[in-house]
Amino acid sequence: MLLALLLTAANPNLPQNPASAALPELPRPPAAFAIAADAKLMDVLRALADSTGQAILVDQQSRTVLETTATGLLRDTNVPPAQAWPYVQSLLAFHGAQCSYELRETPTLVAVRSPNSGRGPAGSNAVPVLLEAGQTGWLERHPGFWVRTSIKLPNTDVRQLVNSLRAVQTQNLESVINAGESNVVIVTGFGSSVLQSVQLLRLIDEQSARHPTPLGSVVPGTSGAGK
Amino acid sequence: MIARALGLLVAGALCACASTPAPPAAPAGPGLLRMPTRPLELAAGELPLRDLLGRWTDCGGPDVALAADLVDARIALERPLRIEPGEQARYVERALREHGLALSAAPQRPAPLVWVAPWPSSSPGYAQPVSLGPDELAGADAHPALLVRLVVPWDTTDSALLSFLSSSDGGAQVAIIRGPGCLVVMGPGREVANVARGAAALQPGGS
Repeated sequence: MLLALLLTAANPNLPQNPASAALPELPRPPAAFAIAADAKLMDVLRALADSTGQAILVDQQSRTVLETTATGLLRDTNVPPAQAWPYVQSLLAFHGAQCSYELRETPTLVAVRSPNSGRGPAGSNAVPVLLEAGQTGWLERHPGFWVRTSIKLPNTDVRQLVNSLRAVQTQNLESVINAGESNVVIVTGFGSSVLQSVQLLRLIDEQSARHPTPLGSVVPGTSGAGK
Repeated sequence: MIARALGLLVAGALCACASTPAPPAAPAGPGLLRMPTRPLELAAGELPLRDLLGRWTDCGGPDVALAADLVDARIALERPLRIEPGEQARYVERALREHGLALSAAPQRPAPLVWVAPWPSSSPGYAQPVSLGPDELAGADAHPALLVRLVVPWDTTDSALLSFLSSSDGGAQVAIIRGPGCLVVMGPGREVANVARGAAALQPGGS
């Protein structure tokens, strides 16, 4: 595997007030970040690395895919500095490409894997970022990172719920499992996907607390949507 | 039981028709998608769907990224049209649904970026529904093509009602599961909102 280290430098533009001191944040570009509508994903990634000084690692197979994949954007755009990384990560996630930390200590090193390279989510060997379910702000800022979190649902039979939820999971290879006999659910996937699942699980648990009724199963004939 | 359910749904549909001119109240708090700031003015004639989406962005709506293999669908306008900012999402998203397309939104609210892809889809691709609570039905209704997972209160244990509800969707556009005290309905906002209204009508004491 050939690794391409695009850029390694000090990170002078770290956010002023990261929501979580325990989890690393990515440096902001000094000004609005421009993305051309016809740019390839690799061009965008390279420009953001140049602009922020963030070191990024892309294996050769992923690089080949990202260099030939257009963003799909219909218009040129200028993204505010604070939104640059979330925006680019959303674009990567839309195309199934996954970010992860190879090094979490400064200077951090971010790896990007494409799904068609054999090293992305389908055959992912990325180590997920572990975080608490309450860290939704970090998830919102890191929609393309591969993450894992756990959430306690005190009012819900999580084993049955997890079985039922498979019908309303998407194809983003998100994994929702119950942790043994406890009322804890473990969610793994893209940051954006995990964020939405945590919110969904909380909403379900709130309803369960208000209306404790037996849990049913998937309604026949409705589990095929999106499959 | 099914006859009663059918009667309730028909009554609900009639009520909905009677109140069609009045759109549901806008969701509180930040919108789900970036709101346009300028009116969208369209000339009469045919317009490629991708041009409509680009014009939406030009008016201040969300940036739009397309899945690579979308066909170049078109809409036809018999006369010029001016769409105010608050109505643009509904108009554009209805056009998307007519072509079997749906939106996934970036996680920020309001989302600055959306992804357009076929729905339902048999091919792998990104689809990220927004999770909405029972009091956010209006949010689903205001976004016909936005993929959502709506939690709907559901106290009924009669499985026949639930099966009837799923069959009334008219197609496999949504997935429904029964959770503890609720249903979770996933799909494009318009279809999900229709199922949620049907569920409300079937509840004991529902209208």
